[in-house]
Amino acid sequence: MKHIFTNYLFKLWLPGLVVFGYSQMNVAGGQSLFLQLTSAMWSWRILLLIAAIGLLLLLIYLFRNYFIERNLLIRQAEIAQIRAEEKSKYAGLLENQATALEEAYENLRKKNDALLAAQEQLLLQDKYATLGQLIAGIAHEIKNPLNFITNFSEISVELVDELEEAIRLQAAHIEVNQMNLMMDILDDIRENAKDTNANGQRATRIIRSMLDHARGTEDQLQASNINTLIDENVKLAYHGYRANYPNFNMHIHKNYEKNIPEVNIIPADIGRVFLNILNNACYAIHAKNKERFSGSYTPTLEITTKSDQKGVHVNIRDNGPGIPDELKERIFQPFFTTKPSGEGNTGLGLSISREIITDKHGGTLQLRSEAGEFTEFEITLPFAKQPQTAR
Amino acid sequence: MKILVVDDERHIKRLFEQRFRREVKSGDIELYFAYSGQEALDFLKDGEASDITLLLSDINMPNMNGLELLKQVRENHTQLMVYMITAYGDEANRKLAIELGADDYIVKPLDFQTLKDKLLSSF
Repeated sequence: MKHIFTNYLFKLWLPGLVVFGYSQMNVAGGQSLFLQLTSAMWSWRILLLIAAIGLLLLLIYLFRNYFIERNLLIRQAEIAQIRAEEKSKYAGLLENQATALEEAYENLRKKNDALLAAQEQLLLQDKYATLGQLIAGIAHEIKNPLNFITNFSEISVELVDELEEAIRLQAAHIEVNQMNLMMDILDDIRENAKDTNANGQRATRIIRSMLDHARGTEDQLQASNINTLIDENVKLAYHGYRANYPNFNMHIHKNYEKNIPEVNIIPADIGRVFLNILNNACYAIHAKNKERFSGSYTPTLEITTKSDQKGVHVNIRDNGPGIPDELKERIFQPFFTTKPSGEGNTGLGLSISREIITDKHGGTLQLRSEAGEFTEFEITLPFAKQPQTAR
Repeated sequence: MKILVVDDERHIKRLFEQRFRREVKSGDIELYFAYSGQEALDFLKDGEASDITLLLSDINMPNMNGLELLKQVRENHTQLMVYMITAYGDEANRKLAIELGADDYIVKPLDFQTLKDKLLSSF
């Protein structure tokens, strides 16, 4: 049995050794094959060698697997890293694109806003133009009834005077009481007629100034002395204001540059600008003075003229209530006014003034003001004026 | 002197009559009124109106305006003085009126003192 097993073993495992073993068996006779084999040391070595080779193969296999596994992991890590890099790269790209899109959007939005504003401006201009024509039309039509109002009221004053004269001639036949009553009534009629006339004239002035503004004068540029022009208008504004408000008073400081060079301007236009700003100044001073019944407030208007190489400067400064910051741009808008209605304010004064100074004369109209302290307008008129066609 | 005043507003009659009360009373001025351009032309055709020396006409009137009236008047009545009266005080209108043959151009509201001065210096 043992023989068979070892035989089989040898046959199976090492065919060379089996042949050899058989021959040994044949030589040694009754000895067991196992002993025969063990005694043959070289065959053990072969077995050891086989085992070592097997072990080596196993180790190689294991190492191979280990390395493959390791490479795989490294690869995966590399791939993961590359992926992460790619991802961050694309993320960066995406972010850049998002920023670019946002910028583009922002640009478009701004452009759109500008377009909308321009459109609004155009509509507004159109509205103003239409309104201007309407105003001109109405203004002319109003002149007809005003013609009768001013003229009839004036005649009434004359008629009352004549009637009074006629009655006085008959004074001897009239009781004193009756006479006094009649005279009182005549006085009232006369005053009413005078008031009617004064208000008719006021309306006429408003209409005229509105039409002047709407029409724009077609006057020519003339070399003019700015001191003379501003001085005339200071007087006009002051006395005009006093005519309406007899208690109104103010100090006027005039700092005119002596021998100021002449400048090419349209005197009527610039005069209008001066008068407008001066009227505003009087109004401001008057408003502040009305508020303060006592105290040390001295209403003061300060006029300064000076020149440099470029042109002449006129500063008109009042120590009225000033202009709050939020209104500093708005006051130049057409139809903007802070004055109560009913005093003949159109809200056009400063918008037209700015147009006259900048568009027609190539100058500047600057505003400096501190709420509660002062308001100062500086008008700069350049010597070198590029004449523009009147609109 | 005889003056024909043309205006579509009827108040104009009382206004002129009162304004020229003294002159009318003294006989220095005789006033006639027409309330349309056609009425004025008809009046001027009348033999009685031959000694009218001055025509004062409003410009802004319905149907025939003052400038049309002026044109027609100039065709037949070369001797007649014509002053145009208008609410439109601008230079373009003034030029047009003078080109069409107006002798003067007066802006409303009427300043009668100025008008009287003009009449005194012209006649």
